[in-house]
Order: sequence, then structure tokens, then C-alpha cells
Amino acid sequence: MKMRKFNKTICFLCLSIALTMIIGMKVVSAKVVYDSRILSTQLGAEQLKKCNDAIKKLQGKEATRYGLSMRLNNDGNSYTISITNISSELEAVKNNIKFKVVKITYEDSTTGNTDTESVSSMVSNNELTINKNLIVKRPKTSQGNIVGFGTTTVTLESVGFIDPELKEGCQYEGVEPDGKTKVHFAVTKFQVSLASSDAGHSSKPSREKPKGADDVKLNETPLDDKQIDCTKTFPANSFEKKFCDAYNKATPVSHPSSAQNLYCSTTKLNSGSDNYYQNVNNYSHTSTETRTTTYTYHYGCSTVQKTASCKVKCIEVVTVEYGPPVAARAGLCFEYKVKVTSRVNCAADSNEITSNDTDATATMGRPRPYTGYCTPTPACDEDSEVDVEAVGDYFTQGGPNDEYDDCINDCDGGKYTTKCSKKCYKAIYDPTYPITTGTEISYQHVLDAQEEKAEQMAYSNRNGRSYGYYCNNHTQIFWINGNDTYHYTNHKITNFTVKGSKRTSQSESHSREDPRWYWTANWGYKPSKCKNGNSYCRNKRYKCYKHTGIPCVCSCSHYCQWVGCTDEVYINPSYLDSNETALDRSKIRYIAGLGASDWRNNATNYNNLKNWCLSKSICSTKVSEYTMKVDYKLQGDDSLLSTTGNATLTGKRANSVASTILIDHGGCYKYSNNNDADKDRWYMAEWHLPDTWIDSKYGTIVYKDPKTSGYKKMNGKFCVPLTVEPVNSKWWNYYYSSKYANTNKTVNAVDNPRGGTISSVYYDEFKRKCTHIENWKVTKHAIEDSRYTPTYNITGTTKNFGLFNWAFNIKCFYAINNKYSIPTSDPQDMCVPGPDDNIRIRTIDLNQVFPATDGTYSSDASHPGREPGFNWTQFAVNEKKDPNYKSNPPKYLKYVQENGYKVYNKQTMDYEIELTKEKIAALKKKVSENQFNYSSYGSIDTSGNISTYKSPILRTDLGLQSGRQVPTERALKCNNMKNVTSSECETDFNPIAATN
Amino acid sequence: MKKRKQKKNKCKNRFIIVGIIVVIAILSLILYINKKECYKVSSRVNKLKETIKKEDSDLIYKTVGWLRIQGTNIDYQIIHNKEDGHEYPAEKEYYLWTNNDFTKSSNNYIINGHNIFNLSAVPKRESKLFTRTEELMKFIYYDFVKKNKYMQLTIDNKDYLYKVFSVAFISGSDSTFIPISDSLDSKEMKHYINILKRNSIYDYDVDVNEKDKIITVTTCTRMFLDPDMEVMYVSGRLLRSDEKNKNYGVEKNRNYNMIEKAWEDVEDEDEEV
Repeated sequence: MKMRKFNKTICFLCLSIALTMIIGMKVVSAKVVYDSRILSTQLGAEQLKKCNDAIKKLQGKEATRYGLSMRLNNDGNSYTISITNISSELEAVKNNIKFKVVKITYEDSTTGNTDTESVSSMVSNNELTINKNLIVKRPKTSQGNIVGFGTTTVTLESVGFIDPELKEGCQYEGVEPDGKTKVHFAVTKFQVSLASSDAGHSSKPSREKPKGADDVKLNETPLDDKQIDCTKTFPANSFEKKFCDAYNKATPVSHPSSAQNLYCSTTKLNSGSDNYYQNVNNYSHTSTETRTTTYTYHYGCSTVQKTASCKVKCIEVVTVEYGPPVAARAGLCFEYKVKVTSRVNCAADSNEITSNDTDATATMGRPRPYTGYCTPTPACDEDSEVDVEAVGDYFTQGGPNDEYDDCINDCDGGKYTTKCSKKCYKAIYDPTYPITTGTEISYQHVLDAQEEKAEQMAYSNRNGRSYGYYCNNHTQIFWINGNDTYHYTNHKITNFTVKGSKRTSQSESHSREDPRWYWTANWGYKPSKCKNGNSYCRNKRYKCYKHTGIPCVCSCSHYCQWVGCTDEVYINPSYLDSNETALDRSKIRYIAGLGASDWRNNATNYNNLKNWCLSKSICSTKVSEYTMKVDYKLQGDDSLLSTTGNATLTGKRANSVASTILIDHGGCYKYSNNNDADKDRWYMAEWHLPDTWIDSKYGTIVYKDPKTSGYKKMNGKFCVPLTVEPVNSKWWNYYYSSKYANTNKTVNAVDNPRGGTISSVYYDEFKRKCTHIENWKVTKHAIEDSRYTPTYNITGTTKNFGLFNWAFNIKCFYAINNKYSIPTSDPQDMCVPGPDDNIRIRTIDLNQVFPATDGTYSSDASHPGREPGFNWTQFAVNEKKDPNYKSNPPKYLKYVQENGYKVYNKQTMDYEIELTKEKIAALKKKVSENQFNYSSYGSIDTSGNISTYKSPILRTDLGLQSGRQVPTERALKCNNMKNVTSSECETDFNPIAATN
Repeated sequence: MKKRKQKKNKCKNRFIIVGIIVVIAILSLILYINKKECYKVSSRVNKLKETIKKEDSDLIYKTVGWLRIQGTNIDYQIIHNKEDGHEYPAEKEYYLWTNNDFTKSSNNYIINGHNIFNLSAVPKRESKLFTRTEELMKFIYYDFVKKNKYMQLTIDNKDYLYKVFSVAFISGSDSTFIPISDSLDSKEMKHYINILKRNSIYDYDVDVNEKDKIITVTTCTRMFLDPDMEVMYVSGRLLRSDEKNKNYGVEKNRNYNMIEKAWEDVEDEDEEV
């Protein structure tokens, strides 16, 4: 019995001990948290997979792992990172684990700016203290309020301890020490596990990555601000050499577009085809040109425009070349040419583009980079513009309202003493407290008109898409109606759980983590902080008014706004919901793409400006104009006549230019010349006189294309009418007297109508026969006399030439003197007195109609001599006025020369007239009666497009033809009759038989 | 000799018996101590029924439960607005409120109360003005929490005990992730528990996991003069079926420094008027 008692006692004792042990056992649980979120956007796919795999492994080993935590220290100025939640297994080695912070990077979500700070000295044991300033780097206002949102990434590295499980590169989202700065821990060689949660539900403003702006890159070529140094020696034919040659002789010109009159020298005479341009002038102009471009940023509510400009200093040197005066002859043609060439050298005035944009991202005149768009978050506060309380934060608060706090603040400075608490409670909540009536703090006055409108619009559009958009201007978002097609946005209507809105889905338990655009029953305003009734504000109690359809807002200064995005950022247009149509989406994408398109446009503008700055010259695209004009007068007519040719050239235009006066063009005026590296650095145009058309048969001169056959076009030449009024005769005399009366005895071929020189033999003969030359000799001295001014009847002009739109009027002249026959190389013809002598009869040798100078050959290009007239030339072949009457002057000339004096026989005779004493007397009488006008008897037959003079005297009236032969009327129209008997035109030119 | 031997054995037996008695006495004492209830349940089922019964159906709110908090005067009805958009007036006394529906599936009850007269940096423990949840601020005092660790929630005609495991002031990102739903999945619950525990100013010797049901009572404070720290959270988990309402360990942790820091800045003791 006793034994049983004892056993019972023992049993009870053991039970008690066991129970005590069980009850007294302390439960130890692993406290490791591995729910950190890998920032997938910052990791490559491969690395992300490695990280995920590593995390999965760790999930199963929680008891052996560790974590880090971060908290704000009591001093308020520092955070401590420490190993927490450590397992017992690692506890033993805890003190051996050292880590350091190697890098702290802060990215401001509002500006996109990134600030990276390398830190290497913060080595510690398992606990590390970091100054708050290193973590919270958000900017401050002048009042010291922290503004903006950002993400701080702290990169840790272990010292002497490498976690074998986790590889380099994983990153974890960390805590937000101040609620507005996210901290991420980037793991390099040390695994960090911080308590955090599923990110992506943050209500903090975020910055989206830029999209679609990668296709335009900025031209980063440095600007060259060096001009050509003309004190140096450059290779022959190099651009620099030509530029400097002209520059060193140039006369500076202030206003190149003001036309300058240039006069050819009266004493620089034509000295040969190799040196036509006797007159040369050089001018230079220096200009600093500023080109400006505009960068436009469509920030939604405001369009910001900034300008960037570049100064370029350009020097343009122009060389104007033009020919000497011309000693002309009536009936003959001459040429006159002008050539203008410019060379340009430009260099930037400084080595950078300047801009009026003070934004830190707009450096060196570049446009602001597009860094994505910002999504703001709504927030309200009482009277501050910044650092405001996020909407919805109050929902669990079981405290007094803001008016109570205001009252306490006024009463005891925020100490919440019992005395003031009682006083304020009475003021705010006691219905018997006296009410200050008045409307000055009424709802309508509290809210800014735009805010109110935003609220109303948001409210009225809460159930559908809202055609309009929210703008951020000076930290406020306000509503703009969607009049513009592209101003469109949609608000994601979510179950944002603040008081007064409903959560409808269980899955939205984290409803405070509402994404992006918020909509609540009172949208962006603190809802229901006070009821529709009385409100205490600034020591007074006011009557609050309920706005139609919107819960009342009672505050004297509630300030609700969208925060987190500055006014000069791209605002996230919207998040889409499933009800939107494809069209709507495209519009929204368009808005979202504004940043990218702005970037593309601005970058293009920058590049264009940069390219212009980089260029040594930019081809002017102005149309340069050219004219060449010759004035003349006809005898007996005092009116001044002229013929003018025009042309234009445009920078970079085609090689072939349709113009009657342009001879050549180059540089910028040619479309492309790839062989010329400096093609954009020079301009050239050369032009001459307008064309003249001469009737091949009759020598008629016209200055417009007659559009009929029988005219030969004389390219770039002015042909002097036979009846031209003499002009500049003094200079004409000077010219020839200087040519033929000089002792040199040699005259350049240019002044000889047939070319070649005058031999001394002829010169001596000239002197012998031309004793009267002293009568019209004009000395050089007389021409150079300032009192002598020629009539400048040749004018070449250009304007808008080159880069600086040069304008020149080049004036020169030709001279005619009909009082003296022109000395020729033929001594027989020299100095034939001929005042008023319009007809000259010249005998020719039928065997050598146009002899060379020495008489041994017929003249040709290699044997200059007597020059054939037009009707003896190839140009008169095949008279086209009437195909029935063919002509072939060269063939005929050959025929004449081959047959010689055989042509004077009956076989080739055109007319056979018998002159008797009586007939001669009758003829004289007839001439006398007609006042010696020999052409007044007959008639002109114009039939068949050919004018033919038919003389009745020769054919009928006086009987001169009696018993003789006269050609038929048809034969009269022949260029060459076969003979009088056949009355046919000669076409065969067969050898003539040796008959009389 | 034999007698001496018998006498010696007798003495030995007495010593063993005394020893056993002593051990038994110690064990009994331990058992007694362990069996002693830390919190005495006083049912509010009937009071709740009466309150609900007396309620005017035209009221904008309805009473959904009753809450007692050990060591405080908080012994109030819990109301819930029938319609959204209505205030829980601060001038009304002796009540708490909830945004939850208090369904059976709920595993996360959040109950709020106004604090109007105990907002200073050094909260008072008692005052005749404290007719709301001002006395919840007692939980910042360590001597109080050592003795008071239970909350009693009465709903659905039943009283439930919750063991306090966290007294927290939550700011920063953690405050963003406090769920307001009354029904959390295991992941959410686990995360929520972590937030409550790591922000707690005490380390309670209470095992809490995602399978537990949680109650959190909040009220306002201005003791830190920090807009991010204006709410105090006192959280407990439902007493498990195999547990008794006994006392359990609690220690101040480093978070408690912020309390002491707040007190350092206070110049004068507030005299009640």
C-alpha cells in the first residue's frame, strides 16, 4: 500500500517535472524574411534566373539564413543596418561577419537625375551606421522641406565572408526609411535579405523608362573654332592657297549686298585669248552669323520652349574678273565675259553651342534628354505645398481632426496639454461653441478654381473615359478639357480604399497601394475629414459647405495636389483599363510618345544646328542672278536700244543650267562634285553677252531668237548693226592708234579680224600710206585723263552671289568709229580714205577669192587672211526659206576658184545687156530723173518667202536687153543662176568648158 | 546495534519523505503558478446583445462587437457604419469602430478608437477625461505591459481572448503595407505579422504565425510630432485552443528608444486642470 503510494508519488513527480519542462520551454522560431523582391527590371534575364534560383534555395533554408534590417536611429540623423533575424546556427559567427557599403546611388524619380557616391571606408561588424544624408537625398525647398521621391540603392559587400548560396548581382528592394525614399540593397558578394514586400503597388510617383527615343543620336563632334591662318604657306592649288591669295589682296566690304560698280580699265587692252580677264578686283567680307534652333517640350499643360544657338564667323573673299573694252566694227560680232568667284571659310566662334536652358540636363546647348514620364501621386496637406500627407493615410487614425491639431498648435505649440486639449475639444466638437459665420472660408473660396474644376471633371467622368487631361503646373495638377484630339486620357477607376470608397474585391486587400491615377469619391482631396457642418480653422469655427455631388471639404487651407513630378516633366498620361478601344489606346500611346517625339525633333534640331556650326561653309540657297546687257543706237535714231540676257543659279542646283548667258558655274552652284572636297566652300559663275542671230544671206541682225530658218546664232556675241551709231570713237581711235602706230610693229591677232599679226612689211606700208593717221591718233595719256569718260554700254550684273549675297555692276564698253576704215593687215586696204564712203568696191582674184596674208594660200584657220562674209560660209548652205532654191556657197567658192576667170563666159553669164551711146544716155537720164536712187525703179517680189528685186530697166524699159538674154523671173531667185539661157539655179557646179 | 541501525533507517526514510514532500510542494507551487489565469474573462455577450437590441434602426451605424482591453478602461461597443462616407465622430464617447464586417472568415480585425485628450508626448495613464481610447496609451509603459497582455473581443455571442504580441508605431514603407482587409491570405498574414513584430517596442514571448487570427487596436497619438508616427497599434493573436490565458514574457527592445527619446524633449509635466 505504501509502495503504491510511493509509486503514485513518483509518477506524479515525474509528470510534474515533465509538464513543467513542457510549459517552461521557450518557443524559438526562425524569423528570417525572404520575401524581398528582386528588381527584375535591373537584372538581365540570365542573371534574374540565377537570382531566382538562389532565392528558392534560400527559402528552404530559412533557419540557416540571416537577414538585414534598416531603421532610423533615435538621433534622427542616421540609419543602422544590422544583421537581424539571425538563426542560432549563424549566431555563433555573427561577430565574424563584416560588411561595408561600397556604393550608394540615388535616383530622383521626379527629375531622373542619378547621383552615385562611392563609399569604401564604412567597414563595420555586423552592424553598420549610415548617415541619413547618404540615404535620403531628396532635394529640399528653401523652407527646408524635403520634396520629391527617389530610390536609393545601397550596395553592400562582405569583408572576408562570401555567401556561397547567392551569386553576385542580385538586388533586393529595401525599406523606405522616411516613407518617400525607397532603398534597395544591391548584393554583390553578400546576401542581403531585407524585410520588404511586394513592390509595384507603391503609391509613390514613379518614372517610366523612356521608350521610342533611341533612334536619334546627338552629334557629339567637337566644334572647331579655328580660321584659316593666311600668314602660313599652303600647297599650290589648295583651297587655302587660293583663299589666302585673294584674301591678301582683297578690299574689305561692309555691305556686300549693296551693289558695287566696277568699271573696266580703258587702257588695259585685249592682249590675247590666254589673258582675257584684264580687270580683276578682290573683295572680302567678314560676318559672324548666329543660327538659333528651338527645342520644344510638350509637357502636357505647358509647352516649354528653349533655344540653342551657335555663332559662326565666316570670311568670304570674292574675285571679280571681266574683260577689256572692245573696238568693234559694224556688221561684226564681239564677245564680252565676266567671271565672279568666291571662297568661304567659316569656323565656330566658340567651341560650344549655347542655350538659354538652365536645366541641369541641358548641357552644352543640347536638348534635355528624354528620361521617360513621371507618374505623380495625389496628396493633401493643410498649408504646405510639399511634403504632404498621402491621400488615404488617415483611414485608420483614431484621433482628432486637423482643425483640432490647428487649435492645439495655436494654444500650446503642439504640446497637447490637458488645458489646451479641453479648450480645443470644446472649440471643435462642442455643438454649443459659437460659430463664426461668413463665406470667406467657404468651400468655393478654399479651392483654387482650377482645382475645383479638376475635381468636378474627375467626378463627372468617374464612370467612363474622360476626354481631357491633367496637367501639372507649379506642382498642381489641373484639368484641361480634351478639345484637342490628342489631349486625351483615361483614369483608371480603382477601388482606392480611403474612407468613402469601397473595396469590392478580396484580392485587392492592398488597396492602399493603388496604382497610378487615383480616383476617389472626392478625388484627390482629403475626404470627410470633417462632416458637412462646422469646421474649426485658425481659432475660428466656420460653416462648411457641401459641394454638389461631392462630399464636403472643410478646411481653411487644405491643399490637395498631385505631387512627385515637377512641372517640366512628361506626365504619365494614364493607365489603361480593359474597356478602352484600340483607338483610345493609340491616342494614349501618342501622348505617351510625346516625350520620345520631342526628343527626336529636338535632337534633330540640335544636330542640324551642330552640322551648321561644324561646316566651314554652308551653301547659300538663295537664287543668285546674272545679267549682261549691251546698249546701242542706230544712226538717225536717238533712242537707246539694248539687248539683255539673264540667268539665275541656286546653291546645289544641277550641273546643266538652261541659260543664254552662262558659260560656267561651280562650287555651291553645282549639284555635286564629289571630287571637290571643298565644294561647299566656293561659288563661281561666268557669263557673257546674250546671243545674236544673223540672217545668213542678208546679214540681218536680231537679238531675239527669230524662230525661223536662215539665221545663224552667234553664241554669247553681240553683232553690231551695220547702221550702228558710232560710240566711244575717241577710245576707238586710241585703241587702233596704239595698236598700229606703236613701234613694236606687232599687233595681236585679237585685234585683227582674221587673226595673226601684222608683219613689219605691212606696218611699214601702213605708215607709208596712212599718213593721215596722225589726224585721229589718240594717245594713252588722253584716254587716261580723268576728264575722259567713255560711254559704258556693256553692263554685267550679279546679285545674291555667294554666301553673303554679293552684288556687282560691271561696266565696260565697246567702241565704233565709222569715219575711218579699219586698218587691216592688207596694205592695199590700209587707210583707204572713206569719210561718208559707204560703198567700197574690192577686186578679187577669182583664183584666190579669200587669200591668206601672204597670198599663197586661201585663208583658213591655219592661214589667216581675208575673212569670208557670211554669205560665203557654210552657214548659208541650203537656203531654207524656199527649198526650191538651194545654195552651197563653199561649193560655189570652190567652183569659182577652180574655174578662175573662166567664169566670165557665156556659159555662166547671168545677164546679157547691150549698151549703146543712146542707151547709156537714156540710162543717165533715167537715173537723174530718179535722183540717182538706183533701187527705185523696180519691184521686190516676195513670193516664195524670198525677196527678189526685179529691175525693169535691166529687163524691159530701156531696151538694154533687146536682142539679148535676161534670166527668167524664177531664176532671179536663185542664189546662183546656172546661166542666163537655162534660167535655172546652179546646183552641180560642174567644171566649165574651155569656151568663150 | 540493531536498534541503532533501525533508528538510522528510520531517519533516512524520514529525510526521503520530507524531500519528496518538499519537491511535491515546489512542483505544486509551480503548477499553481502555471495554472493561475493572467486575465479573468468577464463575458460581454449579454451586454452586447442588450446594446444591439436597444439600438435604433435609423442610426447610421450598428454595433458589431465589444472589446475589453486588460488594465484599461476600454470596455466599449464596436460600431460599424451602415453606409460608407460617414464619420466616426470624435465627440461621441465610449465606443470603438471598425471598417470590417466581422465575418466568421475574418482573420484580421482592425478596431479603431479616438484619442482626444491623451495626445501629449508623455501620455497619462488615467484621467476622468479618458472616455475614448486614450488609455490605450498605457501600453507604452513597460510596467503596464508586463502585467496586462490580453484583449477580449466579443462577437457572435462569444468571448475571444487575444494575446498581445506587438505594440508598435509604424512608419515608412511598412505603414504603406498595413492591410485593412479583414481577410488575409497566408502570405499577407505572414507579412503583416512581420511588420507588427519588427516595429513593436517590445519583444513578447508569443509565437504568432500566419494561421493565427489577429486583432489590432489603433488610436492616435502626437507624442512623436511626426506625421508618419501618429498611430499606435496594439496587436494580439487569438488564444490557441491548447493555450491558457497565462502570463508570458515581454522585454523592451531597441525600438523602445524612440519612446524614451520623445520623453527627453518634454520640459514640463502636464498638470491636469
